[in-house]
Amino acid sequence: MRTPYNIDTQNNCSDCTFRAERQFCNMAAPPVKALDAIKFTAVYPKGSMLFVEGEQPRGVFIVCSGRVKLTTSSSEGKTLIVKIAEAGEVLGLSGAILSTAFEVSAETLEPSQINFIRREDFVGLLHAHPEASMHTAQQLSEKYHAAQREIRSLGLSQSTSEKLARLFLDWCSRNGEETPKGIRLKVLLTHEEIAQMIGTTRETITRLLSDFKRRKMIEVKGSSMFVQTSALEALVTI
Amino acid sequence: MISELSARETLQHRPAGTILFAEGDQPRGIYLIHSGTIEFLIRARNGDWKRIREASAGEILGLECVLSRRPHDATARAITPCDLGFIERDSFLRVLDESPAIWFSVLRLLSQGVNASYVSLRNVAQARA
Repeated sequence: MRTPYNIDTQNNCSDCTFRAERQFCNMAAPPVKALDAIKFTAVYPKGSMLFVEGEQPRGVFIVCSGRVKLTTSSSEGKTLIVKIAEAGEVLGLSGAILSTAFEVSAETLEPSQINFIRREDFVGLLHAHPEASMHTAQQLSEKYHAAQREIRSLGLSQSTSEKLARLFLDWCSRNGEETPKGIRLKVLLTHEEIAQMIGTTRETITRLLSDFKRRKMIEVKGSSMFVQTSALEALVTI
Repeated sequence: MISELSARETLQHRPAGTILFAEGDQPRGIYLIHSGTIEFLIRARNGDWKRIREASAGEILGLECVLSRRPHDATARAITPCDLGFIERDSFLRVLDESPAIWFSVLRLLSQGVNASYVSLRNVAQARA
């Protein structure tokens, strides 16, 4: 069903055309049927806050389509993007399972379909269906590994240009498309958001992008960026 | 959960300085820390080591990697003499199959690991700012 945001909304998990390729939702019929019975579907515009760091968890959020940024704040109020969550990910799990305040905030980066499940219903699903627990464990493990990657990148990089090079190489390895002009990336983040991914300022990102362009490490055309990975790899020490 | 796992563990005493697993190793199993302290280290290409966190009695190491079948993200080294219980990967997965009731305890441990990672991430970002 089309919506005002032009999203192909999936109202029924059992019939969802994407389910087979989604790590959490790709379960046998009984747990999917149980999931269908407890989820609430909604479509959010860009910039919607799903939950906020420090808030007590009401439940978990499955990203059916769109992208969501997970952020945390330092004691000085600086925002750091922990992860860009994509379709198929479940958000708010650790808070909901431990019944403790959320450690991160979640905000949609584009119009997104999100399925919400109340905490009590989700815990019931986990107790009733070991397969749902197994898939939840995989989701938590992925979140853990993603945070470890960020720790590694932030903790070991010697310079901001190295952090930025590392970020672009990470994007290339996960979402890049090989072309004769280099690896093509769709960059849908603002300079401010890229800065928040590596703990720096927007001004520094603008300056570094100019520097990378001047050194022919990247070429930007609209929302596409062509990356010379070997040139960026030379900047990375970790 | 501990009682189900205790039946499968092999007890080990490891002196300070022992490396339990290294960054990039495939996970062989999980470690239950009965006493002592373990540090987690990551290493840069230039050879520099950085400590990212410590774990102590009551914690379980390697769960995330065993469940996701991914290599270890960091090197784990004993910084004091440690008493550990080791459970091989297949044996641990059998426990989960045979006792689905312990899944929720596993999910709680994984959730604690995720939250601890976010705290480490905030600390690392703050230290570098």
